[in-house]
Amino acid sequence: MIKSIQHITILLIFCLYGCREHVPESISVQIDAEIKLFAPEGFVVGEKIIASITTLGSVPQEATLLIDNGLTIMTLGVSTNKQQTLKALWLQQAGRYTLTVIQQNKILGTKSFSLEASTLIEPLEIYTGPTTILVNGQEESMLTYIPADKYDNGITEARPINYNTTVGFLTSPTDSVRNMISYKKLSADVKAEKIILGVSTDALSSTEQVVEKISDWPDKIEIEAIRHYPYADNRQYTRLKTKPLSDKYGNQVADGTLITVTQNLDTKLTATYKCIVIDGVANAYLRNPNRAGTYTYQATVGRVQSNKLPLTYKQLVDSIPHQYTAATNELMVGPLISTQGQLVPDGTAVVLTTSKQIITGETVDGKVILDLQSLSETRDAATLSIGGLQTSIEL
Amino acid sequence: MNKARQYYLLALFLALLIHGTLLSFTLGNTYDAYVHMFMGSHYADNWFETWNYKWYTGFTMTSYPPLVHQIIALLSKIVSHKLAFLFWALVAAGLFIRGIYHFSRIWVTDLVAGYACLIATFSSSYIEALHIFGQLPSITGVALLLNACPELYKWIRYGRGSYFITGVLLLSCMTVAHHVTTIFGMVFFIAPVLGVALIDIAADKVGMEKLKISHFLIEVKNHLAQAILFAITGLCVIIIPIFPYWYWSKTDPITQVSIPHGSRASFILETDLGLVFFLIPWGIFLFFLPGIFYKLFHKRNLLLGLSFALLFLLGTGGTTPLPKMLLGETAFNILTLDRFTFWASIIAIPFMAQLIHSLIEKDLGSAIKNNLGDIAHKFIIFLYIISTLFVSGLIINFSNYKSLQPDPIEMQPIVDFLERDGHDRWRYMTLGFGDQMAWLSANSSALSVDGNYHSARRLPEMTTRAVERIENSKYLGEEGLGALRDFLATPEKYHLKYLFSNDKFYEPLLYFYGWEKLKPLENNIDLWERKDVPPLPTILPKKSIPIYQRLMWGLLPLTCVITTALIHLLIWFVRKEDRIEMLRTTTTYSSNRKWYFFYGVWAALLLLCLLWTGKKWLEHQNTQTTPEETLLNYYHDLDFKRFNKAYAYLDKEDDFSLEQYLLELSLEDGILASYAKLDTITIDSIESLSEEKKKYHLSVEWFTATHKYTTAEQHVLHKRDEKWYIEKKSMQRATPPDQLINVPSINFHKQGRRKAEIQNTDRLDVLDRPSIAIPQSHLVKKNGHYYLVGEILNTDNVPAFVTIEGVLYNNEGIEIYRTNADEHLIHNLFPKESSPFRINFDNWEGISEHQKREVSNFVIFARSMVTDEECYKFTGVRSIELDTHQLQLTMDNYGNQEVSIPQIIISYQEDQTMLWVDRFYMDTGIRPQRQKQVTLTLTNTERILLKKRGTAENILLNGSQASTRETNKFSNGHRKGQIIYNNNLRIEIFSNGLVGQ
Repeated sequence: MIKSIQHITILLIFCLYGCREHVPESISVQIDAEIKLFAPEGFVVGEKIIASITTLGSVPQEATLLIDNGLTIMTLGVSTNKQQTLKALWLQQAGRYTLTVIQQNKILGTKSFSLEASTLIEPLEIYTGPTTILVNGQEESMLTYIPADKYDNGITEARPINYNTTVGFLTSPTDSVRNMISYKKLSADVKAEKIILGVSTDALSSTEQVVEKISDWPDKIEIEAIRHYPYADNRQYTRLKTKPLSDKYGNQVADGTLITVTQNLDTKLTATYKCIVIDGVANAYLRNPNRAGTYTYQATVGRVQSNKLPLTYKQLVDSIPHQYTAATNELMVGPLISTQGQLVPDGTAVVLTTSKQIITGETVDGKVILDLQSLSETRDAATLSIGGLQTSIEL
Repeated sequence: MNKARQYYLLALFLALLIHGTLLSFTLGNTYDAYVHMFMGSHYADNWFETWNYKWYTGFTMTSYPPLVHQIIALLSKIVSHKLAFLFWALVAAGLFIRGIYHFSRIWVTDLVAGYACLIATFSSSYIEALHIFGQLPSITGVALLLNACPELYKWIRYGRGSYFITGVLLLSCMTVAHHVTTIFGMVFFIAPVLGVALIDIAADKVGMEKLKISHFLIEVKNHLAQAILFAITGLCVIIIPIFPYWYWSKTDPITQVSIPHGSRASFILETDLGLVFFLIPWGIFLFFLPGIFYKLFHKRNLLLGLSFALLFLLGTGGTTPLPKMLLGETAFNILTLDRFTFWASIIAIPFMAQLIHSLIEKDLGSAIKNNLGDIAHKFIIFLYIISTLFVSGLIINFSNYKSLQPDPIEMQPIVDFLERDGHDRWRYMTLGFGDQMAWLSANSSALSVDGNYHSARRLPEMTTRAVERIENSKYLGEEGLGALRDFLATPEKYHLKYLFSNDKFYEPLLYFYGWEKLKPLENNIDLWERKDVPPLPTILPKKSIPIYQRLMWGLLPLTCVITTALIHLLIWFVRKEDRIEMLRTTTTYSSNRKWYFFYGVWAALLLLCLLWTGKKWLEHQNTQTTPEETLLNYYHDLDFKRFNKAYAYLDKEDDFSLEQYLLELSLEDGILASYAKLDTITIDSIESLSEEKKKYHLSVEWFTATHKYTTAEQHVLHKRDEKWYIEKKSMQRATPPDQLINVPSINFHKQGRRKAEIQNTDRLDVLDRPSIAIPQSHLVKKNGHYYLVGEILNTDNVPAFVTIEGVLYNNEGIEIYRTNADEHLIHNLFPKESSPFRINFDNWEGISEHQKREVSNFVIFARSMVTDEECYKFTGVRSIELDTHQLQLTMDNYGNQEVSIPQIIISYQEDQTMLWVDRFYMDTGIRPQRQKQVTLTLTNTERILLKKRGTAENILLNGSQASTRETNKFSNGHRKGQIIYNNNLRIEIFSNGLVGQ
């Protein structure tokens, strides 16, 4: 038994050594150059670094130095066994750098190092947007701070940030920098006003940031007549004015808000005018109609409509004096006297209508002469009208 | 020194003196001088760069032979571009006179060649080419051609290789100066010259009198080897020096619509073009044409005579159908035919000189002296000299009588503007600058979207229309304005942001297309800006050519010139000049009675033409003999703002003064009064009210930048003292109610960069884009064309400038076409203001019918930006009457400024779905507290098909997808006054207007 075991053991040991694969030995390679770095001001962006590349032989030789910052690779011709200065201009990006020395397509040596960001600069870089938000929380704005040095490298160290504003924050997700960023959201309360914001940390501050809380659409509109000359003279202007316009939170609506004022006679639209809001109030000037009647005025902006304001316009004239002269074939209309006893304004339209033709004239000093030469020989019934007042005439 | 030499040197001296002096005054008024200086400025900046970014979106400089431009570039290193141009023009003038002398010696005696030089100095075609057209490369080419001809003649005639070398070298210079001269010069000049050399060789053997065609053909056969050598060499000379040009022509051929040119017109129907392209270049030669033809069709000169006849015919343009038949439709529509007249007139010079020589010293002069006396003879010579000088003077001063260019513009303020504040990060355009636009381009590094070299452009907006340049688009009718509108509607396509306008005509178009007029520059040029246009990308596309071509282009032209000059210098010292042996003819003018007969007929014809012209002129002076004449002349005077003359046509019975008339005219503003050009007047009907009183009903068509207007006018005319007068129409009587108007208004002001720094705008100075909403947008189809209609609303609290871009897609989501809303939109919206819009897809170039049928979807990109542009909203619409399709309304201006061009925009809605948008312009302006009535014809919406109803998914607002909630929030709101059109169709009326600029 013991002999069997001995035999098996010898066999096993033999197999072990006999079947073993040849494992190649690792070969240690001699690095030909050693790169040493000396940073007089520290390994910080924007500061020069002195590199010395030392080879086994002490004779200076030409080589190529690659400076790789992960984004770009700069190539520099260098001499070995001599000090080289890596300019600050090349070292503005924070992060990991790798230096590689190459000579005749052979890598002589490599060296890695890290550069830290520089110090925070003033003013602090703040991003604010949107700069206008509607009142009552309908929109949000955000203030974002990304601490950076003068080369735009993010500064990673956490530090306390002070957000200063004239109103409180509704949300406060962070008061310090995390992952190189810090932000605050803000939304508006019901009051339309200007919010001035600022950010500061340590002894450094940002420039003033502004977010404007703006008023919403007007809530209701009420119009009233300020000046009303109640005659359908097609000349004077009726002035309508709105009461101060505000949104539902009581904020005055923005200057320049466009209001449309319509004029209707019964259900028929007879005029539509535009006007703008200034200091919360809109003034509309609508020309008097040329026909008597009761007109309804209404102002609109968006879905909001005002009260309906009825205004009555009376007939400008009571009668239309006229005289036809057969010799010259002319019809003299006038003098047209208005109900207050003055001549109708120059330019008042006088219309002669027959079944086939319409002749129009404008008054001057209350009169107009219509030339009827273009009328046909056989003249049927004709009508004279001024401002809605009509009268039949014979020619 | 013999007389011939004396005359030659005198001509050289006079040419340099007169043309050199005059060119400094006429240069700025020529058509092409500035273009050539601009090309020269490119080479001065970068000699080997063949891509020029400054015009269109870039074009290749290999599209034009570079010699003259490179010489200007070289000289401009020492002197200014203008002086460089002038200097080379003098060199070309010298070469031209030399060329005339030596070319003439092939056909006439030395003395007559001397006469030819003097005649050439005052040749009207040369004067026109230099002082009106500014065609320096063409003149250089012709000058070199004329110098090459005698060299090639001598090569064939005397068999000396040195002449071949000098001749070919001159041809190579000619190619690099003006390749068209080389190509046609070979046919019309070189071939007859080689032919006459062979004729002379044959005549040396048998004598000119016995010479027949068979003798000529024998010599052709004997010199076949030389001919082949010349053909091969000629081909090499045409191709190699400007190989990049041929390479470009082959790989990027011209595929644009033919551009109209006056030289192709019928000179009988369009007499003003006949003046420029026929009468002026021929000038005094016309009177001597029979004599010229007589000599040209002599046996020896026959080949040249055929050339001359063909050139003469081709130069007549569209007067007869023959030139088109001979050249073929394509060549006829590409070439400008004035060059043929120019070349014909050059050929005529030696024979004109022969005639004048005969008149002064030889048989013709003797015949006149014998028959009419010595005094008559001297008088005729005097008359000829005076006529020549008079015609030359007239042509040089032509631009003083007929304006060819706008007044000179001081460019420095424009250059300064473009170079500061980064304005050159966008492209610009000019309007109304004429050819001075090239001078601006030469002096500025900014890029223009327009250009002045039509063969090289590839922008579809220009190549698909028969337009020369955008900057003079008003002279090109609808084609021109159509191209301009494309650029103005979608300026962001080419990063076009600034526009310099020297012509008020375009103002309405610019304003209603959303352009803002800024403060005018110091040179009174209006500056317009379009908001919200992205700047040019840092890297612009360019077409590169292989490096060897760039080297060829940069080196070969001057190498040819230097080599030619050196060889000529060398040969001048070494070679004994062979004197051309003239084979004198015995034929004279006076011995041939047939000649007198034909000349008499010709003189009679010319006299008749002169009398007819005089009669027409007299008739034209008497402008009131008929009512039609009176009306036509009245409107023409109004059109050209000759108000004093227009006043003369009015009936003074009503006793109103010129002052009153001018006052009333000045008060009448509007698109017709201030921005329109008269197009046509048609008499619709005439009512004869009495023997001496008539009423005319006219349709007057006016051409404006926005569209064509037709107005119906009625005029009553009275006959007094055999003249007809127009009864004056009374002005609107209505007067405003208030003497002093007080209307509260608001002004906005954008600070721009608040810090006085040259860096880019600070982030803090950039305003947010105003919030906007598009409550509805739909794709409709009308008459086979697609349109996007909808409504945009400014929901923000600040005034907004809006741009709406529509894109059409097919089923697979592939874009078919995109364009912007143009004048069918109120671009500047106050807070809470809305406007309908319409985007037209009825003018899309490069889109096949198949693609058009595939349209199935759309997207609208709307963007806004804060504007502080002054907007006038104090208008209203009243007295609205609707009768079937006619809408009568009155627009009222209750504010304190005049609305120069009132605009009405009407939207049509069916069941609250917008179907269509129309826009109208009123033809007269509206002063404060006044109103104007207008009748509009509404669109029949029955033929409008709603193809796709838009949702929020079809809309992007300021780069973000619109939300359904927001869209719905505004879609049923803001109902203003609506008018029931018919049944379910309602119309809404929006007023807008251009306030007095």
